Amino acid sequence: MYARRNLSLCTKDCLCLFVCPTGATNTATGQIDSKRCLDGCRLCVDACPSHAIHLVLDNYPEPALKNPELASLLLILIQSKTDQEAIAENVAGDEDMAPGARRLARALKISCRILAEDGAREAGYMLPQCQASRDLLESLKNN
Amino acid sequence: MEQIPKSVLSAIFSNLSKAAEKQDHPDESKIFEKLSGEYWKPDPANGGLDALKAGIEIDLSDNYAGVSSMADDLLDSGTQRCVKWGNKVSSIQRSLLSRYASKGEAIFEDKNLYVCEACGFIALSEDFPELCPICKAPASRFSRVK
Repeated sequence: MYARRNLSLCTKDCLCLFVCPTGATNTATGQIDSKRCLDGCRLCVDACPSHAIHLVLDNYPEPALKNPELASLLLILIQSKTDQEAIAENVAGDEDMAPGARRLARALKISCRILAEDGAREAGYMLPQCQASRDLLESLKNN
Repeated sequence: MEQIPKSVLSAIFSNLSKAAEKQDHPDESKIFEKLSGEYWKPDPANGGLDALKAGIEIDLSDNYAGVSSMADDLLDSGTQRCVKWGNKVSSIQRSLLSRYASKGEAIFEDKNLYVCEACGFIALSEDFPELCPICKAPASRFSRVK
């Protein structure tokens, strides 16, 4: 487990610099250097007055298995949302359309993609390393 | 494994890209982003905003309901949550399209469009929403549509 800083919460009180045994929290990018961060140390997490640092796991547990029939229904829903996204993309790129319509289409395109991604998560593709994602990549590689 | 349509693969991979980013794996995130782009080759879409609205209507009347009843039977709380947010966001999408159809460009006067990056909610307002009314994400999770 290594520490990661949420830069929008960080108030630059720098207490993480005081407690870090390796200097991993003190970097020019503002992000904690995961190579120098000590596994599970969490001193900076507890020292930070802004709760801006959390621990990221190296190995995530396998998410709960999804029912295959439910996953199939979710894939239909995702297809529907990506069909809408494709229409929205067309409208957004159509120079004959009014500017407001194109802006609304851009918003709908983003929104439909987020709904499709949420469906993908619930269909079992939660993490890149989970079994469903690995099986999918493997099957694409073999076809 | 059943054949998954290309556009669906694109959404699966852009979701995995975000999941890799959150785990602090920027290189892996970029690879999934690229894969997502490779699979995003939709057929030339027919129709305009009316066709888009018709698709949303089907989601609201059929697609979400089908997923919802099975999620209830299976007590799958994650999918129940996904359906709850998705239904609400889709209703907002439909209502924006209806308002545009009846009032035209006037609905955008002095207003901007903001999208919640967490749930897809679209706000039509003067400034950033303080909180997403659907998923309660803070203003920082919204982006303004240019």
